[in-house]
Amino acid sequence: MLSSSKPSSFWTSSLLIAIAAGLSSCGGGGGGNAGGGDLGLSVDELAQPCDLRMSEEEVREALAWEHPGALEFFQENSDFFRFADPADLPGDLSWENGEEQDEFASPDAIQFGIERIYIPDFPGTLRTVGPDSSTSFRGYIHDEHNLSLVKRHPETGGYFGGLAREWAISEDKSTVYFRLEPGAEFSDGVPVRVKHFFFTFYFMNSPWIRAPWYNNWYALGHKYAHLTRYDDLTFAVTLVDAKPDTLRFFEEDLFPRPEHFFRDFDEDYVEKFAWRFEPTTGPYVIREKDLRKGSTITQTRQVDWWADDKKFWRYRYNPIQRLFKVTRDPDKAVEAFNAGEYDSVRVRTPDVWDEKIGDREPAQKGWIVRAQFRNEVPRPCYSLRINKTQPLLENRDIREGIQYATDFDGAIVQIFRNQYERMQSSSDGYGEFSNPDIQSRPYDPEAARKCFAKAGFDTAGSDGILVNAEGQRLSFTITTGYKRLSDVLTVLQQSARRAGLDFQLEINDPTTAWKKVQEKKHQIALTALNRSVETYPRYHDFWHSFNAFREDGSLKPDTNNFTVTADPEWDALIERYERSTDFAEIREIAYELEERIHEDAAFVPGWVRPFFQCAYWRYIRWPDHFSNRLVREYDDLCTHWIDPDIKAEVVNARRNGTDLGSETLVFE
Amino acid sequence: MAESESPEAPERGSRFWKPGRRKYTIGLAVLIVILLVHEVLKPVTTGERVFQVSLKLGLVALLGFFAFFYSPNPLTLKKLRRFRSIRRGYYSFLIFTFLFTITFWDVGEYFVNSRALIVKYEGQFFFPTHGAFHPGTDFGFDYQSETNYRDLQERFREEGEGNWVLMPLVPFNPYENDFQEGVFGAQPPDWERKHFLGTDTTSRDILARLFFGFRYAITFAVLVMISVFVIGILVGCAMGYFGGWFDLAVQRLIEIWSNIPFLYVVIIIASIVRPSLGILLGIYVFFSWMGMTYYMRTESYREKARDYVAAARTLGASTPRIIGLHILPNIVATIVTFMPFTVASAISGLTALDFLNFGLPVPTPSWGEMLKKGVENLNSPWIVLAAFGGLVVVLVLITFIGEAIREAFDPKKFTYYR
Repeated sequence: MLSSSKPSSFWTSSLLIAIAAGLSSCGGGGGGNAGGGDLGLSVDELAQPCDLRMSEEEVREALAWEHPGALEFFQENSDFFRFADPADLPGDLSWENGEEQDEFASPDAIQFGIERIYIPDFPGTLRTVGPDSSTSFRGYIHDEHNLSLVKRHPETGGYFGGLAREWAISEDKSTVYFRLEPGAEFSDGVPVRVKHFFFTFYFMNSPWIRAPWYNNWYALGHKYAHLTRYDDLTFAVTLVDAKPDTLRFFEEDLFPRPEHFFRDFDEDYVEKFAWRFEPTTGPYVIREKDLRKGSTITQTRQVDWWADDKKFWRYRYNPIQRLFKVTRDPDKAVEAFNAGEYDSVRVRTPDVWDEKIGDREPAQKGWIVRAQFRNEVPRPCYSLRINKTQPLLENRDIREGIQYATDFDGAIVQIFRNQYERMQSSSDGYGEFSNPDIQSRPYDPEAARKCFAKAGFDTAGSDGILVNAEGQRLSFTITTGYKRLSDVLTVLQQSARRAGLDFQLEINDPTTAWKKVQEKKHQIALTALNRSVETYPRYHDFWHSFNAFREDGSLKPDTNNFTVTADPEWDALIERYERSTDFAEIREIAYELEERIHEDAAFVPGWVRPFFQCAYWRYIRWPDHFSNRLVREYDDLCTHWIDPDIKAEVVNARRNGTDLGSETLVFE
Repeated sequence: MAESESPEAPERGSRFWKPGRRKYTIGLAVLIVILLVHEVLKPVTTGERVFQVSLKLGLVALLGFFAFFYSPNPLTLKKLRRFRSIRRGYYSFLIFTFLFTITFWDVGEYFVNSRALIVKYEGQFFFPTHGAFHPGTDFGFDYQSETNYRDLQERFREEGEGNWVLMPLVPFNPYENDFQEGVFGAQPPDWERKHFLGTDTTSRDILARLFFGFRYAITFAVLVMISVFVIGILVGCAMGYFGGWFDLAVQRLIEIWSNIPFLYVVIIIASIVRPSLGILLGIYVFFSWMGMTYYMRTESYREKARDYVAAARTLGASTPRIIGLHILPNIVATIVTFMPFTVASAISGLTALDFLNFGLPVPTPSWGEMLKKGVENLNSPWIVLAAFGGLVVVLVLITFIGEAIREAFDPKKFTYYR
């Protein structure tokens, strides 16, 4: 009756909204309507007025794009796709290129070897957009290894050029002007031009890609107000909302798309392009013969990659080939790594760090090195969010009691082996925007009992759980979709009993749990909402009444205000915060909100992992500083390389069982 | 055949009160009284009480059913004697009964528990096992949470003032995390600390979890068996006895029913609600009742054609009476033979569901969950060994019992001529 086969698709365990993730591509289509006079009149409030003097033929020529659908699309939306003359560029722009920042890769790097990389599943497609495309593998062919216009410097937090040689931001911070790198080209040799960015919008707005999220994000006028082309290499993007950190938009979104590759783009896109490798601006390509479905994928480095001599791109992406091999079970992957089948792995949990790698022979004898690097990035905030509309939980004393009765401290010590740290506020990891004065309440059963007593829960029932005069039990359900956190939850449950509080655990399937929490039907939710992509925290999503109630007073589903906070004073603060383009003001309001959140006690801060860990075979080498403070995972920058001499040494040592001296690197 | 063939003279007394049955009746009455008193004294929530009381009364009713309706006739006695003579099966049965009894609801707490059996403190006796909640302050600690009786025992020993604590054999409950400072992860068996089979990744005692995991597994299995048999017998006998269009229709229904994929339904339901023992039971029975019907159908089809059925019908016996009192006793061999195997498959079924994360809610002690933990942490082999060992032992015991029953109830007897 029961087969042992694991249920097939286990929906991605992340409940997080992929806020970042943008993809996109290049502008095709001859859009400019010849009769552009009327369009030229629609001078909009955000951008410089621009002149639409080009004829349709000229536009067509400029974009060199014949796709009838695209052409129509541009014509229909000629308000969004604008064409101007280089002379129309504002004269007072201050162009930047970020070249003054320091390099972070090492000139010692050697381009050599095949790096073998672990992937948990074979990707269902090579597409980067559309159904089945959000896999972990997409990072290797797109997000991290395809060039965007600008990139954030991993040490300074400033920006350096990727596809853009230089850029300028308008006075009101809503428009960014880019000059493309003339040498930039796709892996098939076609140079990257402005039209490719235009095509991105056509592509992303198409229903054929079957990706509503992108359709929405790239909807004309939703995030982007309009695009203006000055010449083949110069264009400007105007955003709907001016933000203090405008460039952020161009780090993870708005990639050029090779229109020539999408020549036969149509309603069969999802199937037709499933296994075609899209030309990339990054260093690695996948050749058709290197795709062995179900088992391995090999990427090969381009011999003369166009960015090889650019300051921030040289000495990176050093392995000549990268072999991605599937191991379905994460524990087996660790074993495979210990057996030398992979060159490096991410270490995500302390037991892997200590026992599954650290105590084994390869690490003990120094063939494998473990490294821990303390980074400074906003962390996913694992925390309890208490629904204030539930009975008893509307009482602040009870919420404060729950704060004291929740033993995250104990869980950190015992489950995370003291490697993780307690989260202090809802906005840890945002540097100057995190309020340093807020400290989370420690586990203290007696303090919790005092709070509960204030709320009328002062007698213990037969099982030790507190009851009040009406006989109500102090029992709440924690809802979560994280099965892997069940150990943490059982510790919380047992510790809470010592404070007379009963936690029922509802560990559901991720989608079900997420739905329940989004509909605000939970009592307490253990969630980890994603960090925001801005450099400062977000409050509107989680604390504004707009996301708590509908106009008729009923609970509003599908929002992230899981505490159901609705306070006019908070709303006013948050609105001011949203509108502000001044970092000092933003910081001030963030501090104030953080204090209020602490006082409100509906958010129980959980834990943060203040570092990333990895383990690698000794022949993988890194720059002297190993990594940089704004790096999320060890291989994001691809500054490592394989050293042939040390590789020979390690291979020998392994054969002879030689001890090379165990090594664990900790970078604080 | 059945009772009518008994050579003894019919006993006197009313239909249900025959002298030979007095001992069962008294036994059952005592059992019921003990259970009820125990339940009333026990401080538990209403929901748990309803569940546990109905479980126990159900079992008692089952015992009573067999005691009253199937008081052993010579044939049955012969079968039982034969069962006893099959040593392997009989001893397996004794061991299994022992395990079943000591892990049974409320009984198990006397053997494996973090609460003390008896505390003597300042001249007073306390019985915390099923008694009231005692905060630490009751015994001179300074905390309001439940007394840690292991600490208390230690303290009394050091103080030497005549106070003492009697702890159960395994002084841990299956939920508590017995963390030690500076020691992380699962720990191997440690007789000093009374973790006889070690601890799991959150420092819970494995023996305690194994012990109570068995309770859940066996409760589940017994309930599955009862439900499957009740449905299977009812539907199967009706199919066989009535035959005709009813038989045809139900057969087709069963064929369709059997094609509903069990695992998918479990996955779907587990994604909507948090599974509990009751829900899992429902799902499992929903998909398991069909097998039994076919055996019952064939058996009653065959028996129906016999003369004694015709005789009963001629005498004007009602249909339920013919099925219940004439046919059923004659096909009881089939039923009994299937019992152990149904139990075994239900135990493996629950374990498999737990292993796949669709089983009992965390942190209920369960073997499947333990197996999963063990497989994920093969560097702590005692976890997987305990779960695997437990499963093997129980399934082997049940299989031995099943084989012995089958042999005992087999009308053919194999002998060797010397």
